[in-house]
Amino acid sequence: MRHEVSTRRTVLKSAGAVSALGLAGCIGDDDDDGTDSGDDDDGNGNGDSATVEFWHPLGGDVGEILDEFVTDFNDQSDHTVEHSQQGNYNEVLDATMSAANAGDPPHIAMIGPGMLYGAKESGLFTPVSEIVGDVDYDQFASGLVNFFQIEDEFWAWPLNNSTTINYYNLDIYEEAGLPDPRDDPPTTFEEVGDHAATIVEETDVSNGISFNHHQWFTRQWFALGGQTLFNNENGHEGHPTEINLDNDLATEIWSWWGDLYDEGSYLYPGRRDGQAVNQAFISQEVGIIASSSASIAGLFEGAEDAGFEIASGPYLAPQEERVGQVLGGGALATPSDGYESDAHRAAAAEFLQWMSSPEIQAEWHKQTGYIPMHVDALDLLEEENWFEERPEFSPAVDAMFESEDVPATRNPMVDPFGETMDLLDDVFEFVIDGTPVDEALANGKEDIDSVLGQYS
Amino acid sequence: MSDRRAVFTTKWHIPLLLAPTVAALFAFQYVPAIQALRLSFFRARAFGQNPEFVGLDNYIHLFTSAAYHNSLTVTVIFTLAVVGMTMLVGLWVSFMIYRVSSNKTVYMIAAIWPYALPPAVAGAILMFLFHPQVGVVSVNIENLTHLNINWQVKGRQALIVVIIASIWKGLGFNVIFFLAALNKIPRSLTEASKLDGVGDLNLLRKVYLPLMTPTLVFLLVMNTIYAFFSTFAIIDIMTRGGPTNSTNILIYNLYVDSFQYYNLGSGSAQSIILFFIVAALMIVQLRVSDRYGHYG
Repeated sequence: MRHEVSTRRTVLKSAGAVSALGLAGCIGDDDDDGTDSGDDDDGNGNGDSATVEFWHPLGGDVGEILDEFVTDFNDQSDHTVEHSQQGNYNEVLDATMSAANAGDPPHIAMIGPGMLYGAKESGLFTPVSEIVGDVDYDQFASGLVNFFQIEDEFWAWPLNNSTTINYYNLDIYEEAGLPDPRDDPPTTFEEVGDHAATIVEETDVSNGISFNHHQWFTRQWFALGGQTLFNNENGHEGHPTEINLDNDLATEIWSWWGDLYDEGSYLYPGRRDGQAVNQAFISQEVGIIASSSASIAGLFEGAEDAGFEIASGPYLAPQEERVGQVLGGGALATPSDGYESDAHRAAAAEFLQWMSSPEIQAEWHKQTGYIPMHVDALDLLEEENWFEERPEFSPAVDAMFESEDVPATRNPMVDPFGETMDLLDDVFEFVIDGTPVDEALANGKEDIDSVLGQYS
Repeated sequence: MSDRRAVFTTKWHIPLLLAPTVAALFAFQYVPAIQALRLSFFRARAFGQNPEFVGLDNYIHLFTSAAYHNSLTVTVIFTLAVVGMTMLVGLWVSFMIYRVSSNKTVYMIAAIWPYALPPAVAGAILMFLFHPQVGVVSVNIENLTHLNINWQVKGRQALIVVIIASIWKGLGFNVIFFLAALNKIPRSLTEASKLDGVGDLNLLRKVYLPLMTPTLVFLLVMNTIYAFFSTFAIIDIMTRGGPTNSTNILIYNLYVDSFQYYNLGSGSAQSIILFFIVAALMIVQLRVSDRYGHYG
């Protein structure tokens, strides 16, 4: 989900730069969730300092913010984290895999959530919970924890996660005579579709709505509707053998989406082109979009420059019911072979715990827009009236903290993830090319089931 | 008296002189080819880890897969169109340039230029020209003909667009060789034909073409290879094999399976199949050309 990274403009400018020293000062010495390695006095034995290698795909503004955080960590710790950007998510994975096969992987690798199951199955990774030791899961947002858990083990440590939300052009809303979406946001297919149609009718805007044609957006609707995408509880009770495209929810999703396109309310941005969606919104070609919550800063800045007002709201769902949402972005996985000594384990554990501590997470959220993973970070942000000042950040945070821990909201445990998701995205291409929805879904299911069968 | 041609008196120099070439061929051609053949009997899971021997399963799966059949059909249509049209248009353009009396160089540069572009750049340029919403070409065609151009959605249109793009990109290469061949034809033939009152089309068809057959055969082979392999970048940038897999030619399918899905077993099997298809085509083309070709 590269688009989340590349589209982001930092919140840094608006949130106010926080000096590196001040940040480190926030943590001070009361970092009691660190491990024994944090013990400053002990120069030998357990207290040996170690250098941990950390590979990730974050470049640009987010890369710079990450660099500041890593520098802060290194300033206050005996250990050292050396981070380096290794291309995009796929390239990080490729590099990590080849390094692991050669016996010299990094200690921490940032991978996309879809790669999690494959990483586990490859046998080259250790659950991150084994590296960190006792993890107090209750301190983390439910929607983040259950997404990275496989059989009670934590396989990747959440760091840069976002979800999908809606964005509205308030000027177009006013022109169309629609109610202010800040008071009464449209949340269902029906409401959003009505608003989009009204916008086309009442204004000069060519299309009412746009959102990315990307499986991430489709999977959100399954999660919101409480429907698992794959059988065997989304793969958590054994590798899936079937994709669940033969149910009412699936028919509803693709019929509604196809109709929206046929009626001319939907601006089709092309396959997996989130940038095109954001651009259409900033150039006021559409009144509503759904996009990654990681785009908040960029879209608000863009709208301000272009001279119109926007607001964010919850992601559109098939029905009123909202069971939960799924995550995008990356998480930190730990290749097995990197840990030559206990000091390395201790160093990695300390870094991960430090990154997820409330103060750091609150800052991380303010600067990057990523969802804060620590429950206490929310309190800190609320104390500062962050969400009153910047209400656009609420919908994504609410979605992940209110997400129910059910199989439908869990990360699908499927291999090969990429291939099945490409086939899932094919379905909508066939629908708008004229294939009836039922037929397109049946064909999609047949193709995906055959791929699943091949690997089971 | 010594035989002046016998520079080498022993035979050991033969393997020695061949060694560098053979070594390079082994390292970069034969060993990888054998590796690919071996890999095609394995199936790996989880990003290419833990390969497991599956015999001919990868091949059986490909031969029975509707998606692979579709990819094969797309490749046949694509290759026929690209090879045929590139040569026809290339020949016509070369003929025009050959006959034109002023500014020949300008026309030649204009025709050859696209060949100098890297395929990825060509793909990006054509993407903008043909873009369904903002492309200059698409918008003007829509205004003039009232056709609805929407090749990001309509599979057939997408195939036509990548075919046009590939022809445009391949044209320059053909023009270079056609012009060289035309320039080798003796002037006296043209003059004699003119005196006999032979028309332009007949001149090209009945006088020039038979004399150009070696070039035609060479270009036929090169264009086939081009259509099968070198159009990858254009597809990758313009359509990524879509929509509805309508532009998913074999080489693109192979790339996606191997390097995006980490399905190296199937990818290797596909490369072996592709090798045999192209090899068979080459043999047929060379046989046919032996029968009809005039060399000198």
